[in-house]
Amino acid sequence: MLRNSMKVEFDAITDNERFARGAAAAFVVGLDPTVDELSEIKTAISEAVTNAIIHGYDGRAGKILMEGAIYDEFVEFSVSDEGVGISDIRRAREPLYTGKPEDERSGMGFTIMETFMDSLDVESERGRGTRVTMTKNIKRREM
Amino acid sequence: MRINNRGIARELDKTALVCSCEIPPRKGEGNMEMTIMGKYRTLVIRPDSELDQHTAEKIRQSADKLLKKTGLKNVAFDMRRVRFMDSSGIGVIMGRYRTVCTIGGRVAVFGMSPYVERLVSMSGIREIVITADRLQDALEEVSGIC
Repeated sequence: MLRNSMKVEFDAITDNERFARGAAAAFVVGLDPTVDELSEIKTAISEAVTNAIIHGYDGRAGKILMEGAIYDEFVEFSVSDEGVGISDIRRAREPLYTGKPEDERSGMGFTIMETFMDSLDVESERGRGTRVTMTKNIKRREM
Repeated sequence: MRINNRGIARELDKTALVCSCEIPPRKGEGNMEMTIMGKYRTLVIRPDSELDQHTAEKIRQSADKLLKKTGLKNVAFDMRRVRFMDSSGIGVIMGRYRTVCTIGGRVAVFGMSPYVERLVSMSGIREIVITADRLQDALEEVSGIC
């Protein structure tokens, strides 16, 4: 059952990475997550937002939409852009693969999202944009 | 550039202190600090608490300029203040490795929190960089000077 939801849109500039992960962390803090769970969510959000800025918009102006939803057993976040899209999602998700080797990217973005979250879904259309949806199970602790 | 012995240089012995120099951050760089350790031919980079694409870009620019200007060979990342890091942090460490390995330099990372250590282990960069707990160990290992 859906317990809570949120939606926030911001400019695709690196300054907003901190804002995005801070907002995501604040959204789930009521579930009493562990420090590790919180760090993992913040890192995964940061990776998705960085991807949208660096790869989706390639430094050009644009908007990023972040949505969050809290269900009984898990939280779901999605990060969407209207950038160039990913032509080969399977390849992009391979560890150490980077579309920008000249920019000293580590190629770890999707691997980190997959490792830190419980599910990761990537939808992308060339020229239309990319939407990354992630869920994470959060155990409710008895207070 | 100004000589300053209030920062991390003070953690070391006097010989190191004589030839160390801290470069205060410029506007917009947060609290990132760069310290030239002349004795060890090493640039110590101390990022602020959040190491993401935004701060990584600033470190990249300042560090490469300084390395070129000073002719230092090695880089040590002081991670003691870092509370948050993502793959951009891994990228900036890998990038400095690429910069200095062509001139026979080395890269060390020290003072990592368990969370930062987890990301570093995941990325596999332990194969190419030296990891240490303390500043002194990092400087000695990276430079080969005790």
